[in-house]
Amino acid sequence: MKIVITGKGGAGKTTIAGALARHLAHAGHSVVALDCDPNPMLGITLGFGPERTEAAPAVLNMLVEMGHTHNDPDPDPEGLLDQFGVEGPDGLRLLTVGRVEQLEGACVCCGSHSTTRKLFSNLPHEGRIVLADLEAGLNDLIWAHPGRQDVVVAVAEPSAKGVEIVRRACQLSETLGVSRLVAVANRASAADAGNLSRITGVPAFAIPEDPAVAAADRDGAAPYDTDPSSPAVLAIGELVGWLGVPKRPATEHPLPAG
Amino acid sequence: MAEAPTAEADRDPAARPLKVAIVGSGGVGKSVVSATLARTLARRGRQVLAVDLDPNPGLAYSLGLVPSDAGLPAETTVEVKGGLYGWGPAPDVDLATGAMTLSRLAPDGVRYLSPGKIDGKTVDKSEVKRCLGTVRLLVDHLSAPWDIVADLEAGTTTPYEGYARFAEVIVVLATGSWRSCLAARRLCALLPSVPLVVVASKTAPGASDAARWGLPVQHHIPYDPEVAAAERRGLAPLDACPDAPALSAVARLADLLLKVAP
Repeated sequence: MKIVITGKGGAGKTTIAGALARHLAHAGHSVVALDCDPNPMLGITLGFGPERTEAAPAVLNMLVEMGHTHNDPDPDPEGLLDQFGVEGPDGLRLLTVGRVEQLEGACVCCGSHSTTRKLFSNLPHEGRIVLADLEAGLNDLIWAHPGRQDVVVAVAEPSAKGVEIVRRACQLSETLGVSRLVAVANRASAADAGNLSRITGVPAFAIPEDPAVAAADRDGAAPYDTDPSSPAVLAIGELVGWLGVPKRPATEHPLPAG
Repeated sequence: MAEAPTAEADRDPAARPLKVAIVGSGGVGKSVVSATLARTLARRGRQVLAVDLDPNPGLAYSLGLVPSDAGLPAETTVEVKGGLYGWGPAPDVDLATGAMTLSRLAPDGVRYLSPGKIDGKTVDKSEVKRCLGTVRLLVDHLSAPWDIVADLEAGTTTPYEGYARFAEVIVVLATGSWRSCLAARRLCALLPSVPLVVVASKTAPGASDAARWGLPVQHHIPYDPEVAAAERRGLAPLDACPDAPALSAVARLADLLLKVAP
């Protein structure tokens, strides 16, 4: 299955994506965490640490370096994952789409947004969970183009702007045919989640304000590692139950349908 | 009867316009700082254009405007070969002043220019591109003595794509979080060579968290629960909590920018 995390900048997308991936991997799922933000940070909330996050190869940058042009056929996404994926705890893999600071010489028109779309669309997801942490705002959601089979998690802090962006993200996702949509009220109360659900028309889940997350943020660490039993990390574990993730991890080689 | 409006009379004729872009990762306070800065400058008698370069809703709330998704009227733009996204101003739009004439009035006399918003109703972005290409050209070519305060989209993409090209000084915002400081460092590395002012935002008083990540922090804006409450309600902080300490810190940032700008 494929999950995208979207929302306003600073709403908590990357924090939630990191802890969600760790929970899923710990439960035995095969997880590919796709960092779609050209200002990539997901490695930090996954627990790779700042240095490994910075050193992680970015697909677009590597392709540019290798002289790949947009006239060449698209490279095999599974091959890109094998080549540039970085392994983390419980076998999860981080794949970084692009890193803007090193993009000199790249053609902007085929920049990281289209790489996001190709990887999110084409990366095989049978028997694994592809979890995409998107760039802030609605633009990257349109680029990622989730479809009927995919899950969209739209994250808002309790601000008027954050809520409005999530309302629009839900509307866009429905237009794209996404059938499973979850709104998340982050750093928020159950009442905030109720309000978010009323405004968006989709189920909303609350993740509480949590000093442990703020402390991890300050230090560039993963809340899942620094305080796995903190309220926010536990709530993100409960969020898994809202996503329609198969109860038992899929087998390595699923039986063909029918 | 005085000929000139107060705004004209108060203005220092020697003052050069301030052209500033506000950048940073998500949630660091770009829109609040942009809006407050724009209105603060306007209250000092300067003519100010607040440019909303983010296709997500945000700046209008912080300015105290009724948010609108509208971009530019169709008749003000034309398809241009080689224009940004293939669009530019129509022939009867003056390149030197179009940014001002196509803007709308905001509180304190600030003019607000927006390329429109991704409204959520369609995944077709051609309307936003039509307006964005034109707005960027108009901002780059504005030659009247107006201040420009532009609020960029979160992250590194649009600064990389040259959205801050018009700016003569750029404010890079970071909070005490490791990730926002990393974003600020990445931004400092890719921005054009104009004076950069790194501002620690939403910090505890006197905190220097940002400094420990190798950023030359020049100014602090404290975390302010009153501003957070205004944001929650979608109100402009200058209207909801005019005496909030964070807003005086933005006023001091205005002084600093006027000193630093070339």
